[in-house]
Order: sequence, then C-alpha cells, then structure tokens
Amino acid sequence: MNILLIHAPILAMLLSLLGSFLCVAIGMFSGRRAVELFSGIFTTASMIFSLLTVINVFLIDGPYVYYMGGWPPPVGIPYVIDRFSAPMSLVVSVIFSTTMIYSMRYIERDRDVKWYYSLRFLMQAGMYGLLFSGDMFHIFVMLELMGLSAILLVPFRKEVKASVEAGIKYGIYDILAISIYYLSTAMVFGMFGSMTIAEIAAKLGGYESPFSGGMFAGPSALPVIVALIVWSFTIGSAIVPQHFWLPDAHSMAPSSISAILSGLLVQVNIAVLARILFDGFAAGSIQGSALGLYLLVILGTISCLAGAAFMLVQSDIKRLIAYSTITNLGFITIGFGIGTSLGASAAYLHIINHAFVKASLFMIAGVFIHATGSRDIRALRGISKALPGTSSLYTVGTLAAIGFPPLNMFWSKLLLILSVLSAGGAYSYLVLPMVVAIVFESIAQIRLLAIIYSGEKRAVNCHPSTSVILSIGAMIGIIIVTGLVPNLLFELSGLAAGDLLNVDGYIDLVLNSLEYPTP
Amino acid sequence: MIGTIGHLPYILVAIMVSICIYAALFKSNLFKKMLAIFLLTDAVNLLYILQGYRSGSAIPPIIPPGMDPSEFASIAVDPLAHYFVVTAVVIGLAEVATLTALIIYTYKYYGTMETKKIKELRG
Repeated sequence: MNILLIHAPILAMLLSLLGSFLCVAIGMFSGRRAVELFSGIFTTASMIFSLLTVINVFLIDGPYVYYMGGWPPPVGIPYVIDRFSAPMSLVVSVIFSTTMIYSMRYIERDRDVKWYYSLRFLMQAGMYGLLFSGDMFHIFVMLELMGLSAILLVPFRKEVKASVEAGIKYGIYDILAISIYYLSTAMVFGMFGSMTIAEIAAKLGGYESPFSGGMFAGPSALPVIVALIVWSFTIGSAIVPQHFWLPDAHSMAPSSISAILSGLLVQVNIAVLARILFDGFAAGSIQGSALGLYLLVILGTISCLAGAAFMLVQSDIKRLIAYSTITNLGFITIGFGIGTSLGASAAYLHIINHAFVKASLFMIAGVFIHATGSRDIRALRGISKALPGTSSLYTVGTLAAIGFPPLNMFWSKLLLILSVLSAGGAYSYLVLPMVVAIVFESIAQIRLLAIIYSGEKRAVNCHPSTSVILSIGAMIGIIIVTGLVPNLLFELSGLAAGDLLNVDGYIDLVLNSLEYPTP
Repeated sequence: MIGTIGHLPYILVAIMVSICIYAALFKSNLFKKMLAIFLLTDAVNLLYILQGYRSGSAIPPIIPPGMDPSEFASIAVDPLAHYFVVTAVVIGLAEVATLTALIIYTYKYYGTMETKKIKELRG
C-alpha cells in the first residue's frame, strides 16, 4: 500500500485543522488577499487528498481502517475509511472548495475575514472527523468542533440584529443536542466499557474484549441509549419536532455558510446517526435499535410533509430553500429508517445529490439578495431579464430540486420511492405522504421560478463577479453530469449501503488486526 | 459496579439530568437555559466519575509488579473515565465562551434575555 494513499484522509483533515490556526496568524500580519490565497491553497489540497482517498478506496486497496497514532482499537481511535464515508468526504471537500471561491467576492464587504476562513476550516475538519470516526467519544468531540464553528458562523454579520438571534437559537439547541449525546456516551461507557462502535456491535453479539470483557449489564438500557442518540441527532439534523432553529439559522447566515449548513452539516449528522444505529447497535436485530428505526420513519414522514407545507407560505427566498431542506431531510430519514439495503442506498444517494443542489441554490440566492438588496421573493420580479445567466443557473438548480428528469435528484427520489414500495408491509403506504410532499415542494419552487421570470426588467445593485458565477457553474455542472450517469450513481450508493449494513464486515475491518498481547 | 457504591449517586444523576433537560427546554431566560445545559454536562461528568469509581480504593491506576490484572481492576480507580471528563470539561469551556458571547450580543441588541420578547424572526 502506498504510504501517501493511506494517510490521505487524515492529511485532508489535518490540513483543515492546521489551516484554521494559520489563517488567523496570517490574517494578523497581512491583508485579506493573503488569507484568501492561503485558504484557497489549503482547501484545494484537502480536496486533492479526499479525491485520492476515494480513488484508493474504490479502485486500489478497498476499505481500510486507519489507527490514529498507531494505537489499535479499543485503545486508540479507529478511522474507518470505507465506501460509505470516503465519497461523502469528497462531497464535503468539493462543496467547501466551491464555496471558498464563492466567498472571495461574496464576503468582500465584511471585516475580519480571517475569523470567517478559520471557522470554516474548523467546521470542515469536524465533518471529516465525524464521517470517518469509529469511536463514540471522538464523535462527541467532532460534533463540538463542527457545531461550535457553525454556531459562530451563523451570526458572522453580527451587526445584523436578526442574525444574532438566529445564532443564539441555533447555539442553545445544538449544544443541548450535543450534551444529550454526551449523556448517551456515558451510558454506553457504563454498559459496554468501550467506546469503539465496532466493539459495541461485537459485544452485543457476545464478543469478549481482551481489555474490557463482555457487556457489563443486560440489554435493558439499550432502548434508552438509542432513544437518546436518536433524539440528539434529530435535533442536530432538524427533523420536524425540533426543526425550528433551521430556517432561522440557515436564512440568516451569510449565503456561503448557508450553502454548507444546508448542504452538508445536517446531512453529516444523519450519516453519523446511520453509522451508529446500523453498525454500532446493529439495527433491526435488536429491539432497542428497531425502536430507533421506527422513530426515524415516523419523524421523517412528519418532516417531509411539514417542510413542504411550510414552503408554500414563505415570502423569504432563503427561508423557502431552508424549508425545502427539511423536506428532503425527511426523505433521507425515511430511507434510512425503513432499514432495507435499497432504502439505505437511496438515502445515501439523496444525501449526495441534495448536498450539491442545495448548496448551489443557496449560493444563487446570495447573488439575488446582493443584486436586489432584499430577501423578499416579490423583489425578484423581473430579475431574469437583469441577470439572465444567474437566473438560468437557478432554473437548473430548481428543476433538480423538484426532481425533474434527467437531473440528479430525480434518480434519488425515484430510488427512494422504489425502496419504500419494495420494503413491503405498512411501509408501502409511505409513498403517499412522499408524493404529496414532492408535489407541494414542486408547487412552491415553480411559483418562485414564475416570479423570477415574470415582470419587466428591474434595476440591480450589482452584477455577480466571474468567480462567483464560475463557482456556481461548477456546482450546476456537477448536478447535470451526475444526472447523466444514473447507473454509476446507483452502483456507488449500493456499495456504500452495502458497507453500512454489513455489520460483520465492519466489525472484522476494525477489530481483525488486533495483534498485541492480551494483558 | 453499582453494588460497590449503591444506587443513590446514580439516582442523583438521573434527577439532575431530568431537571437540566426540563430547564433547557422550557425556561424562557437565555441565561438560565445556558446554565441548565452546562449543569447537564456536569451531571454527565459525575456519571462518568461514578462509573470509574471503586469504593475504598487507595492505589493509583498503575499496575504494581506481580499483581493479578483482574484483582487490580477491582480495586483501582478507572482512569479512562477521568480522561473523558477532562476532555469534556475543556470542550465545555469553549461552549461557555461561545454561548456567553452570543448572549451578550443578544442583550445588547434586544435589551432582554427573555426568549419570548426576542421576536425579530418568525418561528
């Protein structure tokens, strides 16, 4: 194995961490251009390393486990680099790179950009850590890293009154969610004596660890642990009863941050939840975990309906897009919740497609808001004549969001509906709320499109610069190109779901190379 | 493990956790919400410490030569729980700093810490 390829995912994360500190240091001694150049180089380098990781996992070596500092689990932290986590880390890198190019001109009127780039890097590092981590406590630390930097980025324009309000709202509920997760890790520690997800799964199957033996207690506390974990991650990913912070936070953040929050942060939460439920607690085979999956299906159904219904009454363009995120998160949760291999692969594909679509929509919304000086969708009347290029990009993005064939989200929505239908039993009826949600969402999005294309040409404050258009164009290009190769997408998501649902393979991968003497 | 120190400390933790989650969700004062969240973290820290505790243990968590590991594990305090708590305390500091800064700004703009009176954004 090539030494560079093995270390590539860790280098991507370490570069982000290092970049976060160096950004501030550079910003203290030189101007904003230096900070931007530096951040650009580091983000691109992270993307190259993520790309190498994906190539390595899919084409050269296959999935492997990286032992942090050389300590094997359960003593050290294992980073599981498999076909579930590697493609998502590439998506994280690509979206961070495009929003990096977008940010250069988008936030040029703001002061203190060094803190902006620094926090962005911290959030990126947290996302890599969450996706790869195979350790419950490490997930807690990385949740804090990602959450705190996101909480501080939402009110980045702190002179705007409402953005501070959105920030404190998000801050209180996200930190509460992380604290609840911390409570569940304490219970896991008491029950299993180990924090490694693979060991938890193995001990549920009767495995005796050389360090901590078997389980300390019977499985009676398992439903409580699973419920706490599901609760904490559904706050973090804004599934409906706990969604109220999302529209505020995502609409008041700077658009470049909204793109990341809406496209990546909430989805990373769901991916980690799926990792813990399916691999750690071997969902479906144990009563407690089955409870978690039922919860996910119920909450997901409410979520997609409520999000779509709220979309119909929005008059703020960014709030409308934010509620669309809630709808799609509902779809993703249903996909994981039905617990079949097809459902997990559909949800996984939807995560990836939705990330690109939602990020590009928020980036274009940012351009519109700069051009019109208003967030109201009525102010967008006639903007298509003033900004024809941006508007046509927005049209492609919207068509992808409502699932217009052959754009990418059509395929994932199709796969989701097929998976619900093939799951059998009462799950087949879920197709009804899903179709209703898709119809509502389409009505709201097409209404917005109609407003953009109606009316006379209006005056705009500013035209988007070339770099902004290029970054948005890159995202729209990805949306179109991935829509043209559905077979590749289905194969990729099938492999990812296979790695996610294969608990024995996961345990084997993490624990098989334990070659140290037993104490 | 429960047998060694009895159920009472665990019940205390459960009560503390319940009160804190209730207060964090239903108190309308931002500062009280924040305090509740940090007390929740402290309650969990206490839970960790209790799990690592061995009553009557007097030896440091370094295995003496010639001692049987299982016998050692039954009398020495588990240092792993302390490691988790130390990490969480450091992280808690970052949480305090973040939320306090945001609450100060909120107070500056709105002149109040009551969530019911902060209504720039519609639900």
